[in-house]
Amino acid sequence: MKLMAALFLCFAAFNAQAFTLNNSAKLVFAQDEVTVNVAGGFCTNIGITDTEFLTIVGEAVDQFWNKAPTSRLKLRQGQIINVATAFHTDTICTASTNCTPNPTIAVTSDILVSCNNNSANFTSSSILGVTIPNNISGTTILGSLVMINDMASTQFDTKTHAEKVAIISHELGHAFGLGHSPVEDSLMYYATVSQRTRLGRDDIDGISYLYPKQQPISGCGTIDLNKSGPNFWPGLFIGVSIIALAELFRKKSKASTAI
Amino acid sequence: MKKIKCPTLRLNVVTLFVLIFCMPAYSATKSKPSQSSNDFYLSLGNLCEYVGKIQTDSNGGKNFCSFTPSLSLNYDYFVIPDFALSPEIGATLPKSGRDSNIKTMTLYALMNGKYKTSYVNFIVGAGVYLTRIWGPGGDETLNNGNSSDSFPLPKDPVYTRNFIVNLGVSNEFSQDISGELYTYIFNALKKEDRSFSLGFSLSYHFGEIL
Repeated sequence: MKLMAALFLCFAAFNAQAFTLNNSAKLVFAQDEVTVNVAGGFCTNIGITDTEFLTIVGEAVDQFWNKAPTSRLKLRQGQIINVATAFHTDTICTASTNCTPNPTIAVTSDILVSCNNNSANFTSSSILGVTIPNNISGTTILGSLVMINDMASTQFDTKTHAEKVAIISHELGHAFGLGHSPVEDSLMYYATVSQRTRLGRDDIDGISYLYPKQQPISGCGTIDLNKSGPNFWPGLFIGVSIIALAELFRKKSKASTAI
Repeated sequence: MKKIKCPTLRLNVVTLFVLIFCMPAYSATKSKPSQSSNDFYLSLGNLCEYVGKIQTDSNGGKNFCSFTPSLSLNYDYFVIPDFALSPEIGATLPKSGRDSNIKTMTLYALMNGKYKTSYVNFIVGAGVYLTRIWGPGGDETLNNGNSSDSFPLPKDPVYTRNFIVNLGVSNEFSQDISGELYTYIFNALKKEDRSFSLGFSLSYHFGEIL
């Protein structure tokens, strides 16, 4: 026992990570699945077609955010959609000290990724993307807009395919409510790194903080009986386990009584 | 400073556990052919969370194991001579660091079944795994594009709740001490975000005190 106590006291050294939010209101999407669409016909300087852009979006959600084991949020690749030219040319914020979302390019629902060539959005060629939840109701995000630098001087086209995937994924992190991370091994670090292949621990904590998974019981103690729902199999397992345990105890107590 | 390569480290860890578990097995079974009395025990170990799932550096390195001490209480209740129901509750200690803003800890409650053989005990179970995440509130100034901005830090604690499957093996080294290797499977039926945490623990057995 003394050895165990000593070992316990040795656990005084800790390590950990830190994520931030992109706003003080802790804005989140209400739904568990959010679709990411691509604005078609706008990208001229980033070196990829709309179809390739959509593929990159698909990889960005599958390779990174959808792998977080403790988050209920799942991003889904959407489709190429036609939107107003303002998404390509307008500023993301109206002129003010704090960014007030430009109402003319409010995203109706989910997330829209669009190429944009307004120099007010991209004051430097090294700024590759800007993102803002720009359609909000209370603390709920209805729609978010991701703008990718499509100016003639953009550095986005010089990035490798894997880097483009990571950049889009980073911007999607802002779109659903995360801020930057001070940790270099985190996807939400402010700068690109040489190789980004997975979420960092900080990213997993961040998305889980905003969208905590609630298995196996959802709502007010109800077990999800919808077979396509996320909690069906765990709920079924628990139900069967409880019945099996009760039966075991019943048999055991019956056997004891017989003796 | 020379960096230890991960494959070497893994091999050493595997070798170590093979030795730990195989060597005492024979002698343990000789001295205790059948231990099937109810038993309360305390376990201390380390949990390697989400193995291979997390990027650990800017060069694409991934995690294998980090220092996450765990503490759990268990009770073996023998339904038949070789099979025990083994409820378990446990927690990992809170972690903080880097900029010491975010803290996380986990709590878990499992219902295991333990099947005893002559050599090792096989453990299968399931339960709930809670992750508590919290922070100090306030803001943190971080780089943003070519300038810097204040980003809000989380404040109120949030709990994520996962249903996990537990698979493990244990072995009794002596009357009082045993060791266990186990894996927690998250989202077992969903490939998209399936994850594994590996753990090992040493247990001190108090016997039938309940």
